[in-house]
Parts: sequence; C-alpha cells; structure tokens
Amino acid sequence: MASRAQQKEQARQRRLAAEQEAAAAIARMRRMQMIIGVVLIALVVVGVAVAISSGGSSAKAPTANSAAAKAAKAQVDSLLAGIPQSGNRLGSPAAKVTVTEFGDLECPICKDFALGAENQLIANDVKSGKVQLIYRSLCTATCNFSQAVFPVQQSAALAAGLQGHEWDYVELFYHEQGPEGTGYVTNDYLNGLASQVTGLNYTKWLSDRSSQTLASQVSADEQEAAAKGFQSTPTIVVQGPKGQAQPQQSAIDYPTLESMIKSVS
Amino acid sequence: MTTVTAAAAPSKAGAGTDRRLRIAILAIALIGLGIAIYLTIVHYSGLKVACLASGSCETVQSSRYAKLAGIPVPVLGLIGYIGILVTLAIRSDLGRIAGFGIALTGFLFSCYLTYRELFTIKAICQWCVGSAICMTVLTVLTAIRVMRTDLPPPAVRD
Repeated sequence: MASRAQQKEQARQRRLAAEQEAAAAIARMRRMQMIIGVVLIALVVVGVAVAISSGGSSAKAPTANSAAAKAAKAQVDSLLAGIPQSGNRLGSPAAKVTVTEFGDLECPICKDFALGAENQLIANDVKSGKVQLIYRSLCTATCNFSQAVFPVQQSAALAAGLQGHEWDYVELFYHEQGPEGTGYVTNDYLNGLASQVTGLNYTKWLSDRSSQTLASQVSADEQEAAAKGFQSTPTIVVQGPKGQAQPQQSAIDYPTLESMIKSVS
Repeated sequence: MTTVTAAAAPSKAGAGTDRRLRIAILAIALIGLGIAIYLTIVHYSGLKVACLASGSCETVQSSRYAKLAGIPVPVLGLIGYIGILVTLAIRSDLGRIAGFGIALTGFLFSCYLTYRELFTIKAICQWCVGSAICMTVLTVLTAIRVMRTDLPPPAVRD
C-alpha cells in the first residue's frame, strides 16, 4: 500500500498531466483558429484581387458627347496640332528616324504605351521633325475575343488616314478605349470616334471605312508582322541612318525609346 | 500552475521532418522566384519572352490580366515568393502560418489566372504554369508544416 507521500506525488503527477493536456488543447485550438483566420484572409485577398482583375467589365468606353470624350478630344487635338499627317504616317516624311508601332486598338498595353512614351515621343521628337511615326496593325487583344471586329476597327482608323487624320483616330481610340473583351467596339462606337475628329469629312469616312482595300491593308500588316516574328503589341521598330534597333515587343518607356532612336541616328 | 509555452510537445523526429520541409519549401520557392524574376525582367526590358508554344506567352502577357491594379503579375509573384522565403526564417507558429497564408493566396490567385488563360485568353504561358505548379506544391508543403503537431517549440533550433 502506497504511503501518504507516494499518494501525494501520484496526485501531483496526475494534476500536472491534466494541466499539460489542457495546455496542449488550448494550443491546438489557438493554432486551428490562426489557420482558419489565415484561410479566410487568403480568400478575402484573392476575392478582392479577382474583383479588381475582372472589374473592368463593368466600366464602359465613353460615349462621343461625354465629358471624358470631350477631354480626350481636347488632349488629342493639342497633341497633334501642327504635325503633318499622311495615311498612317505622323510627322514629316523628311524625318531621318522612323518609329513604327505594330498595334491593336483594343490592346490595353498599347494604350499604356500610347498615353505614355508615345505621346512624349510625339510632343518632343515628332513635333520637332526629328522622328516620323507609322501605325500598323497586329491583332492580339482583339483576337482573344473576336477576330471579326479587328479589320473593321483598324480599317476605321485607316479610313481616317485617307483624309490625313489616322493618328487623330488612333489616339482618340486609345484615349477612350473600353475594357478588353466587353464587345464595346460597335459601329456606334467607331462612328462616335470619327465624329470627334476635327476636320474629318464624316460622310466620306463612313463610305471609305468598309473598303475592301483597307481590310487588305490590315491583313498585309499582320502578314508582315508574322513574317518578322512579331507576336505581341505594341511592337516598336526604330529605323534610322545607322540601321534598325532591336524591335521591342512591349510598352517600353520614353528613355528606352530615346536610346533606340539615338542608336540609329 | 503550468504556463503554456508551446503548441505541442517537441520531438527530435518532428524537428528533422520540419527541417526537411523547410529545405523543400526553400528549393521550390527559389524556383518560383527565378520564374518571377525572369518574367519581371522581360516585362520591364521589353525583351521577347522565351516560349515553347508560338505566341502564347506574348498573348497572355499582352492581355489585361497581365496586370492587377496596374502592377504586373510577375511583380506580385516576386513579392509572394520573397514573402514565403522570409517566413522560413521565422521559427515559430507565426512564421509557419504566415508562410501557409502567402502560399495559399498565391495558389488561389494562380487558379484564377489559369482559368483566365484557358477560358478567356485561350492561350497558355508555360512560365505561368510553372509558377502555378510551384505555388501549388508550396501550399501543400506549408500546409503540412502548419498541421504537424510534433514540431519543436520556438526556442528549439535545429
């Protein structure tokens, strides 16, 4: 039979074991609560990220008479004022350096480039007569959703080019670009852009924009891009007296563009 | 009264397994980090991305899903992988759970992006798939590490 001291020790051991078990249970519960908390936080973070990523679909391209469209028109008019245009060329044909953009009017990365480095290029280098800018077509973002609309939208810009206003149209399109994949490029949208181009004969443009010749020109641009291995937009090609710089297939910044120009000047 | 200081009783076997898990997480996170660094460099330098399927990577990269709130997705991946590596240095439940949280977030967002690649963009970028696989494996490994109850307490170093 155990002595009184042994009984006390056994009781103490049982109490310690029970306390350790309780402590472990509390720790397990805390850990589980933290795991559940982390899972919930992860779900919320990803939910917000998905909402932001998909969120553009609720936005719309501005209508022709909206304040946003009027602001865009004012910016474009100011940017292009006094710069000669002919067909898909912006700037003096005598400029020694030619910068060619292969673009897709619905491509959001092209919009980033257009409103960033390209607008700086126009304001600084094209306006001064140092650089001429050429716009050509390569289907990327548009063709992710609909191949049929691409020649229609690009021909609309080319039709404006027949009257020396292609770059007005291209710039207005990028400034007022809608969310990708939302089917916002309708006849009303294209006609609305044309109605904003200062000096454009709308009736002639409307007649020209369905021309098969222009659609063929879009197709020829795409074939040339494919032949050169260009697969993304914007693809920027810079040519000058010293040859051609390595083409860049992304929305490069203005300093990069300037260094490309310098390398061929 | 006994004070609670550890989530579970320590064991040498638990410490050894945790060490192996940390090495595996380190290796996978470094692979993912390499992919993220490459895609970030390609994004900002304008270089052509190396791609097995003709044009697929460029198609994905030029889509609206290549950025989140103006931030290129590779940069988000870069932040995620660095975050996982940092949590490996935190020898506590907090480090383990934070690592799991980051990996789970990356895994769920990778699932969303893969869905967009397959059903919206209709093009697959091998680098994105590689990163998604890394995040999936990291989620499994960090989850195992979090769920184990035989890990050493914070004070124990292996």
